[in-house]
Amino acid sequence: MTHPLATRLASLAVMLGLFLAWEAFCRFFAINPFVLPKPSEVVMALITRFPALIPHAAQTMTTTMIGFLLGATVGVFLGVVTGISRVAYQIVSPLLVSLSSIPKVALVPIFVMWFGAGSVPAVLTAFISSVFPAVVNVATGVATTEPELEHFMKALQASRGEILWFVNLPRALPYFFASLKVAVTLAFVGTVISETVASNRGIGNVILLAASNLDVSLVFAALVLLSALGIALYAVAAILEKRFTAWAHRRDGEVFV
Amino acid sequence: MPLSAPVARAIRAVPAVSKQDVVVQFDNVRLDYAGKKKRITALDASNFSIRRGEFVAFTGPSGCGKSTILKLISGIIAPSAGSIFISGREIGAMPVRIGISFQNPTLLPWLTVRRNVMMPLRIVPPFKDEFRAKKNSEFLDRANALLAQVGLSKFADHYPWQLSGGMMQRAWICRALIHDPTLLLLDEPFGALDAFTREELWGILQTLFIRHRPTVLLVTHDLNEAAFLADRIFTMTPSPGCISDESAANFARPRNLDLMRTLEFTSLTFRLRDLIADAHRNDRHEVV
Repeated sequence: MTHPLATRLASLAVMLGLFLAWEAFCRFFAINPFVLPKPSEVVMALITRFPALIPHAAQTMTTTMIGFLLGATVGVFLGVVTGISRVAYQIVSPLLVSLSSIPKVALVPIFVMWFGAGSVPAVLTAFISSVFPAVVNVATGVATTEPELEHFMKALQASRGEILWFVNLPRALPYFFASLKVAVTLAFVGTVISETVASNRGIGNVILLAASNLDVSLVFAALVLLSALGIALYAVAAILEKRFTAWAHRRDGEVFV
Repeated sequence: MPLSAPVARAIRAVPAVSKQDVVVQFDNVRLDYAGKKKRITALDASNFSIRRGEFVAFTGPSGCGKSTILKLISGIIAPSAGSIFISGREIGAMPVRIGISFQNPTLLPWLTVRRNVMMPLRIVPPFKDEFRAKKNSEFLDRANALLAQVGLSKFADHYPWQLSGGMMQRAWICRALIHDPTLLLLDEPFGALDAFTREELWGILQTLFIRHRPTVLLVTHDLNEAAFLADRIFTMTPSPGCISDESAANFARPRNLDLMRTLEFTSLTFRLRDLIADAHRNDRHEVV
């Protein structure tokens, strides 16, 4: 393992290098900006159009967060219910797997059909995208609790609720936070897709309109913004994970002998 | 058949004790579980009683149902036949304060050692109501005092996975004792340790036993451990598991490791060894 700072500098250099290569490629081959704009043009577009982009970014983020929070809440609840009983877990597992394997994009038309275009289908898509990772992970975390831990609680005559609160839920927490990182990203993807298909607001809609106007640098500027927002969401989930489940990410060399 | 019936009966004759003194009583307890093809009897026709403040060890070859006895007493599994009485009442009739330690690590990895040790206080009445009412500092003192007795004060704020095996085992013993259990159930508590650490922990356990005087049921396959710690040793035979012998280990307490060099001690452990070897051999013959 090399020095952590060196690793970070290297990954930064790779990223910068990619953009430089892209810039050089466009300039050297004189690529038409309608096909592929130069990174410098994208950055310029991002700066000049930023005020106009902000309300759309806010819309996308709000939609994502509402859908994601709903999804995570429902996911934890369903995950605990299915994980708590071995039988329920075995019965519901195939259903969960088959439901979660449906590409969520395919559901957008149904939501639009039911609720019309706008924020509702976007929230629902974000919800449905984020609920399954949470259910599956929490259920797995609860269901794989070491029987010895539960035996110990039973010997103390703990109630089912106490075992759940003191053992099963903390045990499932690392699984839950691992799923949050996936779920929040999926919720974001779901929102943008739904906005692209059926909405007049949000970054997804901006991309669609800009593309139809051949405003290619705005398309790319919106993509860069999406990437930044996605990173931010992931980072928040990762920080929460680190804060609450440090015990599950122990490193070697911390053991006393 | 490991022992002839009259011999087994003679050995089983326990000195008469008054009813109130009996903490654990097994009356013809049997436990079956569903095997792949047929029902398997893990424990058969077990009769014994354990007096208050007694230290009893169960020993025997693996698969003889030693751990099953502890699981029955702690209510993790229910007997298929027969009755278990704890403090004169049938099991399940009223809550029993039990402290337990398993062979596999059961410290909760997300809690510090001190909070792990305090865990029973959050679950077992009457402590749990006081815990809710935030009368916390008294419990902290109690945990700190126990941790000090086993030499873990410096590690109270560490997480279990930061400790060595021996330290973890000491923490379990603290956790098993913190709620003043009527019964202390220890399932191979020192199984995974090296010989020196094990002997050190025998001493710590004995000190705690003398100081707190719980009734202890220790399951172990280490005959020295059984003879060094216990007042009485039950030897068990496998398939179906049943108690075949009962030996007294009447050595004065506190015992120190020199005891293990005495003729009385070694003849006891050799006797136990022969009993188990016989049982093992008979078992093998039956299979063949």
